[in-house]
Amino acid sequence: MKQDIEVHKNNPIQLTEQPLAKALVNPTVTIPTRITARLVSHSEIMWGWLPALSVIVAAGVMLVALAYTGSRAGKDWAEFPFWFGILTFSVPVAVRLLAAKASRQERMGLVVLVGLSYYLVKVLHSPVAFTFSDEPVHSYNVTQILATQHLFHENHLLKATPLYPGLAIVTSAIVTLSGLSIFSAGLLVIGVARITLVLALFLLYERASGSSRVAGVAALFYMANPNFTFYSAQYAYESLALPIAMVCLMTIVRRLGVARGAQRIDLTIVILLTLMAVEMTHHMTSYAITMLLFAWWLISLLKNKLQPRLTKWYERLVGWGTQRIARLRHSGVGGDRMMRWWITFTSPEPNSSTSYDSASSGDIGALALIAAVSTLAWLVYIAGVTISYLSPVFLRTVRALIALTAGDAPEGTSRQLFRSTSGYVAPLWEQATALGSVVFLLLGLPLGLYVIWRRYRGHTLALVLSGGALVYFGLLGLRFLPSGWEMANRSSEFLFVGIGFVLGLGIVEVWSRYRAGWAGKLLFMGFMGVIVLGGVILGWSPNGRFARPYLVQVGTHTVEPQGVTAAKWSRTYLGPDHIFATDASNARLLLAFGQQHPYTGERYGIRDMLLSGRVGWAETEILQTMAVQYVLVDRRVISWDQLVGYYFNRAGTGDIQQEQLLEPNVYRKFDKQQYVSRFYDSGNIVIYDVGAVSGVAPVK
Amino acid sequence: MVWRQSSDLLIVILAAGAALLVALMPVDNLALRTLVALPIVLLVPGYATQAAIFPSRVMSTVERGLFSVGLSLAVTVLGGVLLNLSPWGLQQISWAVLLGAVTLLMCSIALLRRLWYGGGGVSIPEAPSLGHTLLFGLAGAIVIGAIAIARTPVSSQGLQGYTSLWLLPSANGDARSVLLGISSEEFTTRQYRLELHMNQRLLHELSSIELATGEQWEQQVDLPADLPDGVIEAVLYRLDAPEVVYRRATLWRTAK
Repeated sequence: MKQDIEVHKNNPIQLTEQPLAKALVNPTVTIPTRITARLVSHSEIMWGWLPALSVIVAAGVMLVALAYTGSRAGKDWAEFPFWFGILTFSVPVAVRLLAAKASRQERMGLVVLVGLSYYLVKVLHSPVAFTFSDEPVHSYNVTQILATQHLFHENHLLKATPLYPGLAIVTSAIVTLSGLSIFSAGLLVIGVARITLVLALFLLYERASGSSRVAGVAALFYMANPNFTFYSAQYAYESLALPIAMVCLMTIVRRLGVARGAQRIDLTIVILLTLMAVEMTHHMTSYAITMLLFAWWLISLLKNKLQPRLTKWYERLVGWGTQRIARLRHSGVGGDRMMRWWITFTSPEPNSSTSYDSASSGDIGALALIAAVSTLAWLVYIAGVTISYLSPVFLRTVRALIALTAGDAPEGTSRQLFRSTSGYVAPLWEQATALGSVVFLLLGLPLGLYVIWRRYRGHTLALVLSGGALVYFGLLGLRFLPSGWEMANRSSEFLFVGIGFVLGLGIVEVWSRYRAGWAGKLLFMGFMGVIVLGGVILGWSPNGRFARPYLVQVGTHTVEPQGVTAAKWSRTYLGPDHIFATDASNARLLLAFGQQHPYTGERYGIRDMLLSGRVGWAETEILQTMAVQYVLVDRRVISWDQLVGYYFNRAGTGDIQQEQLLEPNVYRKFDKQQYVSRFYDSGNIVIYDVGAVSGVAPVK
Repeated sequence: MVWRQSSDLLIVILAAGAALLVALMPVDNLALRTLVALPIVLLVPGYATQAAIFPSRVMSTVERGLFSVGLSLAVTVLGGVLLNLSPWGLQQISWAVLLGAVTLLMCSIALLRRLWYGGGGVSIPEAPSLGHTLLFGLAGAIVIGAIAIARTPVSSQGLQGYTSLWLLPSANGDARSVLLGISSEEFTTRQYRLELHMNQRLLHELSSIELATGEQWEQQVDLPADLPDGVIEAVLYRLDAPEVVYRRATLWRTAK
């Protein structure tokens, strides 16, 4: 008989019993055993597999770096190491987090490791400059603060962003005090925010479930949300607001577990400080936390008010069910097993060690009201322009929801999944994996909901998180509608907090109950792998997923893309703060590198004006209405895609193929205009002075 | 006992003092400034604040760290909005003074509350063993290598360089001259020919301009005195393709 006993703290000795002789006699006879001892340090137990897994995780990150190097060089093999790298840094950690033996410290370390690795995927994609679509916008805000030493300047591209200055404030503080570039400081801020987010989530889940094991697994499921890898990792205000919101939420949960007194006041101060910081950093995150608090309050109120009545109905239902099953058993259908199952299902387990639900609904209600009032106050007195910025998104979502529920989405307006706006169609394996990830999440949902029903149905936070998980699946249908896709996508990182919790509970329950061996581990690895890859596939356009050439080394000189050079040229030779009309990519470059005021897109008719084949009265009117002084024309079609328009184009011969260019009558239309100077030409990019047409006097 | 257990507050105050010192004295060393700036923005004010708010609370190191970072971010955001309202604005000195003052104030409150309630000090987690440290070091080295690989610029194979041409009014506003410029971001050294025209009249010609990658050429060109109003055109040719217009720039000119 062999027995391993690991002990720690005061008795760090591992004992094994081994038989001195084989059991040739009757196996019931006790055979003398020899005891050997092995010292197991406290450090080994606390750190567990973390050091070894950190090397594996780093290897996964290296694979992603190699993949990006290959994609920049135009190599076809780049896809495989990319996907394999992501699996390498996530799946082995998932298996370890599911193990019972891992210590709390190890679990937290593993969660941070994977969270950082996901962040490095984004950093390695763009390691020298901000190239994600919102990044130049926020970088410009920092530049303006550094230049003016004050807040709330103007940003033509995204007007709301300077009015939520949290990210720009923190970054400008680091730049001012350290001398680092905005890019370096920005990477550091979001990296620290990322660590904060995953740790706060871990602690939140741990408080909600009473188990660090569930917390680790739940945090990992959260990281599989479609926006975690790229969207929530970019240098943008939500990437900072969400982690602070998680700290706020974690503190609220902690506060509810504390009896009245000075300690509650202490925690309230923390909640208020972090809540205010969220409200000054990102609009949607502040709305999300406000809505969460109201949902929590509502469920708490309903639970308190309806609990006696619900309990009575429930007891009647249980009684009726028990009678029916007893009758069936009497008539030979079903049996003891069915009765045992029924009793197990209907009887709650003793609660796990969570005491956070002991507080009254008034506490949550007060916090919800404070959140709502302060969010509204900031919106009304500081950031009123957000209303015109966000209301079209909300209205489109409402219309899409109505259309979806009524089942009458107009013909031709449905959105094709896995087809990008540029016409790229995802390969079959990506489509299967992405759909498979959604199916697997759905399959895991009932497991978690069952555990919540058995153990946490009296806990309001668990009910709120479950509600969030269900709402996520309810909103999935919006992804089929162009008008609803944006809201469905943007809500992922908020609603997945619920999905992580529910799935974490369910998977740990199944794992513990059935003590799965190697077959179970392999099955789980496959399950996790599909969910992880599916999240990445769903979250970012395939166009933008792989790195493209941004800097080219020629001898000792590094060549930047044409758009960057043109933007810097405009700053040097034209001066800052001029109004430009241009495409989506160059608008961002002009903002970040040129400090200009660019207009782009369909708003104000800029896109129609730039893509028309003539300069008629409609085009002239747009130029005059927007007081455009300069037009930057990029003849590449790809420049209208702000995910990929910044980069060098790679083609077989090195020349841009004709089908990738706009029609000549489109990009040359300003050449024939009287009094319009074409004073900058770099091949793909031409800058025109249209002041004479728009009526703007030249300034310089 | 409380004083002994409050060495963490002393460290925090010293960090704030270092930030103020670096802000007041012009320090060029980027590494030193970064070493001082990052904690003062991302950790120190929050640590002091949570020490003041939770003087005797038993808290794990991770929770304490999380509150420190979360509160530092909150304090910095709120502090930035306050500085915006002040006449000094958001600049190096004002940041150092604000964050330093918050840290000092919170540390004082923390110390007083520790004296009142007792408690204080930080539990340091057990250090990893040598083997673990080597593994962590290896992981760190791999990640640094990955970042270095990713930051390496690509070779020019399969890509196309470019040349920029510009034609602007002269910098001093004189209508009798124009500013011509060429910048090469080609992948090899190129030779160009540049012509300046108006109404098919050749005003100026430069038959051979050679630029290596990253080089720039610029010249103010005087125009003939009898030039009427109209369009001035600059045309750039590559000497290896002398018949093909490579770049073209125009400038509407008025004699005033």
